[in-house]
Amino acid sequence: MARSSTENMITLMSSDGEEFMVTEKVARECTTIRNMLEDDCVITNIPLPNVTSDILSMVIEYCMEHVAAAEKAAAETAEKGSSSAPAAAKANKDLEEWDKAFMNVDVYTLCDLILAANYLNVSGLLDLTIQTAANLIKGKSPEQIRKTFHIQNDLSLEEEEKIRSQTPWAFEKSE
Amino acid sequence: MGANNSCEISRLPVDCLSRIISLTSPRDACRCSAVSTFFQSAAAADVVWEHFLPADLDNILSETLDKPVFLSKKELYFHLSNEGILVDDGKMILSLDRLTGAKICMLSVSATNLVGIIWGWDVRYWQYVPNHDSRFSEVAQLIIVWWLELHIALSCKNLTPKTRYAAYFIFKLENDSNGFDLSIETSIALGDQETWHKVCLQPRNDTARQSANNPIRYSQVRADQWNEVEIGEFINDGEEDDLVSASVEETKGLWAKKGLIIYGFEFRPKT
Repeated sequence: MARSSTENMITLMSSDGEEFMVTEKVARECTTIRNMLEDDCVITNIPLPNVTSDILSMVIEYCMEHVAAAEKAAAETAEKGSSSAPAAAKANKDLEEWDKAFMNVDVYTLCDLILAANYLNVSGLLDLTIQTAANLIKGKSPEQIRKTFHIQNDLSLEEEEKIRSQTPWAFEKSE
Repeated sequence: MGANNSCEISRLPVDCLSRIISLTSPRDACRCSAVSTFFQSAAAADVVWEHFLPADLDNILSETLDKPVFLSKKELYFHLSNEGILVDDGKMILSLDRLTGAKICMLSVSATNLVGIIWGWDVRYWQYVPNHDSRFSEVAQLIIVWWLELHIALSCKNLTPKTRYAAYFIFKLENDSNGFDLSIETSIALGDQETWHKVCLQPRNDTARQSANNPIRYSQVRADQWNEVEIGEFINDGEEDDLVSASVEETKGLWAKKGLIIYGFEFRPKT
């Protein structure tokens, strides 16, 4: 599908005042923005006081990649009448690889991305970031989880001991 | 929480962290509770434990009379993993593997479910009696047989999909038991796959070390004081219509066998 020259552009403004021009289609990947556009269709400038420019540019990068992939799949389906299964599987795999590379970030960025995806309601990005964070927790001891996410333990010794004694089997060494 | 700028994850809404924890495992969730107060509250949420409970649990609970009382999904999870519930008119105990949440099914071999015991209807050979160590209303008690043959079948939809399982024979030998010092045979079958093993219902002694030369499986004492022996393992690949069937038999030597009490057959995940 050729991009129409009349496609609406939306300006998103980050908390630190940087402006990002995106197509309406890309902006609509964020359910929060989609709802704003549906409430007020003439809006063209949206301030996002909860998202920094670094993170907003990443969110936009994610949305653009996923919009482009969906458009490509739709174009192929339109061309051939039906999408060929191997081509669709390859496209899916490519997008998965892209997602995986996109998630190669430090935990600070990951947490900021979760916050932004949650605030902007980008369901695909939220699923991806949450799964990535879950993978960082799996198989780790409480100490290792604290270290990974730079968390300070605010449980008292007695509280922690009590929690551990409720499910001692969960704290036994495994693998 | 959040007082320290480095605690980025503590700035997440608690339900976001709960969603993250729900994608780990019951064991990871328990470990998360000991990380910090924020993690503790996130790990206790219903959304976490709902994810670890069987998807068809509502159906199961609607059909059982053994309804657990619980205040949270976490409490329900622990009730199911610690004690389980009686389902299928009291003929099966459903519980959960606490580490993974996979289903464990214990099937009774009772008078109401005796279709699987050859000669099981003949009171000269088998009787069905209450037993204070059993949660079922009855256990099967062998008086004497020469031909020992027990079968049981379970629909795979009772088990957690995509999980490696093993079936176990749960029993006790009475003081005057006889004929179980020699090996008997077990089979497990799913689809067109069937495997046979030799097992001994006696515990392994020093003179009979398990080795390649002696592939016999010996029984082990369980925490509940019953004995168990592994019948065989299989992978439940999620074909719901499949039946997995297991058997325990001695139909070749035909020596006299007596003094066996059968609690049931257990299907549980094998790690």
